[in-house]
Amino acid sequence: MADYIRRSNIPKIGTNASLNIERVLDLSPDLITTYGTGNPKNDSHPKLLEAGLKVAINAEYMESTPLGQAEWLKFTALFFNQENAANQRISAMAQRYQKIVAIAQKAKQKPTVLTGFSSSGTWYQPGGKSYVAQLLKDAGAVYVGANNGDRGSTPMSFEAVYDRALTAQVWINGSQNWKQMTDIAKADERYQKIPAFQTGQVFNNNARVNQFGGNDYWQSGVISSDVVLADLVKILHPELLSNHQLFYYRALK
Amino acid sequence: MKKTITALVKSQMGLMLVLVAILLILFCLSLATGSVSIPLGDVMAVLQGQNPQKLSWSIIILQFRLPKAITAMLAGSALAVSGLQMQTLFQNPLAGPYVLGVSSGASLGVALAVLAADVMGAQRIALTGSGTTVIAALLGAAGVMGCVVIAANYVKNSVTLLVIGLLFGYLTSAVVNLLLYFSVPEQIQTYLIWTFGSFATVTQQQIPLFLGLVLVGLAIAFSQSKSLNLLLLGETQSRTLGLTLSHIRLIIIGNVSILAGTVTAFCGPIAFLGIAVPHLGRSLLHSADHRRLLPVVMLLGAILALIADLVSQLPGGQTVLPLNSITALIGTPIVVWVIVRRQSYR
Repeated sequence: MADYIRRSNIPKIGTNASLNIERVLDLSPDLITTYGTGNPKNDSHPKLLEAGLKVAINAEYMESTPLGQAEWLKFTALFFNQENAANQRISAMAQRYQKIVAIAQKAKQKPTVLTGFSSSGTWYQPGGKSYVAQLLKDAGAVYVGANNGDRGSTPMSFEAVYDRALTAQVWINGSQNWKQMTDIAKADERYQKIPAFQTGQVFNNNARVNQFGGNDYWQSGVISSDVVLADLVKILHPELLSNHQLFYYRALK
Repeated sequence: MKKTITALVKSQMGLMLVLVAILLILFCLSLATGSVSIPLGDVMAVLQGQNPQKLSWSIIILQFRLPKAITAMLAGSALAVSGLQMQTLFQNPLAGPYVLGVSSGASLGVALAVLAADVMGAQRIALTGSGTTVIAALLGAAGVMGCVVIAANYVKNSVTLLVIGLLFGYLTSAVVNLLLYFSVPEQIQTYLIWTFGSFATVTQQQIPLFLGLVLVGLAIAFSQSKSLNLLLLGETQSRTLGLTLSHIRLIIIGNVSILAGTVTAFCGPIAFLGIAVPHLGRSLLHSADHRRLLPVVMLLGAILALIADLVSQLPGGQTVLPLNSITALIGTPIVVWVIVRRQSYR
């Protein structure tokens, strides 16, 4: 995909609010898809609408389940009259997802899972009603942040997360820059006190990062929730999915 | 009773004692409170080297709370003292530690380290260690301050130097904005969170370096308090009294670079403390004598930083608030109060 974008000379029009409107008008696209934050400083769609352009807002990141996120493909497909293809793809994917959920429920034990990392002293932890919490539940895990009612993520102090991390056997979704265990120790020596670090049970969703820093987990992962879930089940209950190879995730060594 | 307290506060020794007492109470408070509630008895046990009921509590107190409290005190003192020096040097009540571009320089360093690799399409440097951020920020701050020092050699007028410092600031933030414009969201987020400021990033291993740099800076500040007093008389007057203006200016700028540069490198750009605390010190002490003012400002800086950190950690709650919002929330009313109360003072 990255190669395709480079080869096909797709014009750059800027990001968020710092959009080159003149350039966009010059291109006169039939459809612009973007996302809205509700903050006029970051949003570009009011300006685009004012200029008479057709804007569709994607809000898949606000969904609280992975399947809900994937369903947004149907919304985008409508603009291209591809709704049949999208419906088929998503319902097949949802079926595979449910099958893996059923497999995961057979697990005898539910490992406790810690997610995220401390960014300049603040640990952004996904809420108990977020899609991450749902994924972990479906994968047969106990999520340390499950009792928090937030749908987005909550800024927490390192000590609060550390206290919870003591019960976790597995640690996932660290910084995208962590490729091996020593990267974690280098980032902050206190990470070494986390039990999952000591037992080496650390997994990161950065197995597929391209040379520009784009992570496929955030790209194709959104419409391949079944693969993401299979990765998690493989991590948490390796005996249940012996044929599956980790796709988006990697074990840190 | 009230009279004796006022009299006590008015005397230099008394004020210092009161401030030290407040600082000690706040220090204990920041060790004893946090997101995880730990009984006071266990806090005492840990501090005396005994084992608490849960082993994790001793790690929380010794590795999370203790470095954070020490960092907050050092950073608060360092910023307050550099703010005071800048206000005196430029004879301007609105001057602060960052007025000559230290924080913009540090921000540029961090932005370059975090974002530039993306822009150039090169393999991203392993920006995993907080150590990398610290080194990048220190280099950035030193670079910009180096330019200011060179400019100071050519510019005789302090106000002109101030303007040059501000312009350097604009220049560096322009470069930072350009870098942000071309970066991927994850790296932008890393950079933005750094700009929120935090005392929690400094780890036990980093404390000795941080402590050393800040102590050197504070010692230089104390050694210059007499020259600072002469500066209060105005540039012409102090020159007739034998002060080599260009010389003292270089020392002060260098000293502020060490103090503010170190704090920014380790904690991010901490807003407002540096401007607000010197005003508070002068109005409490009713004096602008730096030999008396410096220790008071140092203590006040440490106290306000600890309070800001305590508030941002929301004791009992699980979430944390961005430190810079809290320092500004505390700092703004103080500055407004002081400016309204005394229309002008030197």
